[in-house]
Amino acid sequence: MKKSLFYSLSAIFFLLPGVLLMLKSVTPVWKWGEAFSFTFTLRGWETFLMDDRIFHALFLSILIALAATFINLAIGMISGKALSHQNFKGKSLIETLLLLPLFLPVMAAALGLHITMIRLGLANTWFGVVLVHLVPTVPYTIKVMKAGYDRLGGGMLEQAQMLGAKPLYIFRTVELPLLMPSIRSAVFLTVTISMSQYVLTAVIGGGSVITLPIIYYPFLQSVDDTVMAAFSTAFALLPIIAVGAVEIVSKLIRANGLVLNRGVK
Amino acid sequence: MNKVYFEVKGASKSFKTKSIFQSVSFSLQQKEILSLVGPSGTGKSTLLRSIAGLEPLSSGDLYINGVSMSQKKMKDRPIGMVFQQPLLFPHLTILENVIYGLRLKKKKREAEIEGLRFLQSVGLIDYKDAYPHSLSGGQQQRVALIRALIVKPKLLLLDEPFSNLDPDLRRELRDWVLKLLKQEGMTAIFVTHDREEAMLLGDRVAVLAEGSLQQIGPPRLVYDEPANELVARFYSDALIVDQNHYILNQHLSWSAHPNPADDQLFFEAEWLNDTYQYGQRYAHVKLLKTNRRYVVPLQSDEHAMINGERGFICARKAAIHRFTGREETDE
Repeated sequence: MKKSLFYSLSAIFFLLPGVLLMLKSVTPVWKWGEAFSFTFTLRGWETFLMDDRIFHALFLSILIALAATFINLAIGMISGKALSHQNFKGKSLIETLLLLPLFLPVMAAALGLHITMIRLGLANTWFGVVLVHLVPTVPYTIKVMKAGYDRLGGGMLEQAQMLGAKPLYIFRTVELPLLMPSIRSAVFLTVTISMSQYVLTAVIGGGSVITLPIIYYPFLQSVDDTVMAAFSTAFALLPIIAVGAVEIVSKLIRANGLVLNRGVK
Repeated sequence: MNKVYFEVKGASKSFKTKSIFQSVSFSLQQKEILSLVGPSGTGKSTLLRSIAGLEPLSSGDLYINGVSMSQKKMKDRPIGMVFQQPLLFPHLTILENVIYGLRLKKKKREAEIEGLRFLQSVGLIDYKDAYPHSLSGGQQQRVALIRALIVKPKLLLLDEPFSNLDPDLRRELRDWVLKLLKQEGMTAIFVTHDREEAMLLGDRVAVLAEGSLQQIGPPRLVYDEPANELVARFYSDALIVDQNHYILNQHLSWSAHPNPADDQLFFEAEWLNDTYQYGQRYAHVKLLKTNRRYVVPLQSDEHAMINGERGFICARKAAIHRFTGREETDE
């Protein structure tokens, strides 16, 4: 009963819009009052591919999102572990400070950071964009990873230490496999947030770092929903590709001597 | 006298200004099992964690075969530990769990063969490919013990390993553990707050209370000759007469009326209840002077009283003993 409810709700709220979006991208614009027609057209996708910067933008979007994700995971895992397993003075203060970027208007952060980026010579570069994408993502990642480490508990890691394992070995054999659910959540969040950034990318990238949103947003003004649907479909596929890339990397890092990541999903 | 194998010298631990335990010293011979008992919150677990290297000692040192341990990192100490929870890795099979530590020293094939042999010898071979969640709590704790034993530590620490199991399972498991430890010739320190468990598993018993080691010795001797009030209260069954004197429970009796005689002592007490255990009837009474509860053996034909009714705990004067006050009690 519960299972069927889950599947029907996911079908209605997740699958159906996706299917409609894809259908929309291959059917012409429908005007109010017109009879329903199912004429097939590739015009939306042609417009999408017409812009010769599109493949470069797709590649750059994924590159920036993945770079931001790996930096996020590094910061998130280290600070999440410290916040979860260590006790130190001012812990709750630091925890709050780490969340603060979320309460700051993005524009305010971007304009302030822009000057620093120019000084550092990172303005108008893709790596500068990666760095600025950390602002709206790192707080979430830290939260998610802290929750992951809370669930893991310190005992499991102490047990591994007692059996004589070194920190890196413990990370590969115990932490990473058991934290995969949290890592997946963090990756999804980071990739999606990074790919949705227009203002931050435009300000720090200064128009020379062309990601998908930079090409995509101007089309929002048009009423051509066939083209819009094509863009949106391509856009929705990007996070899936990025998450797949992270999965592959994590599989490589995990110790290969033991067959891992069974039992728990 | 046999050679000292493991030694703790003047170990102290404090968190900031709060002292957990101070100047704890004791030694173990090879293949000896020491039960460390004491009321909860007296630093038994912290002492064990310090020996393991999970916490640094504030002062003092540990020696295994004369080699100092305090400067060694945890992974370099030949010490194994079993925790209250089994802490099996949920994503690994039972066999993979068992050989987790062994894999660091041996090739996968060799480790697996040894793991399988161990599982076979303790009758858990059928579960080799199972995941921890499909095992019962007792079985999980058995796997945890094997996992610690298979790397052949020089010293094994057990931190209340049965505390999360129900009483029947507990009884069964502790016999099993004792047999296995003896069979492997393991030197071990076993922490518990259960007196019975301490007597069953320990070749010697150490009582840790109020931050220091009160007494260490063979279970029977510590029971019969407690060093002080704390030991008497926690480990022995005795009526504490005053700071320096006690009467063992077996010399106590209950009487509704004082029976005047020169060699008798009387302590006025309030009847609470009576219970039966191992074929003997006991009265639970509260001594009026100290408001402390005592359990006194009763004749089975003695009539029960009403809760709150007064009577007397009696003992012969000759049964009064002086606390030994000695830290080390030898046979």
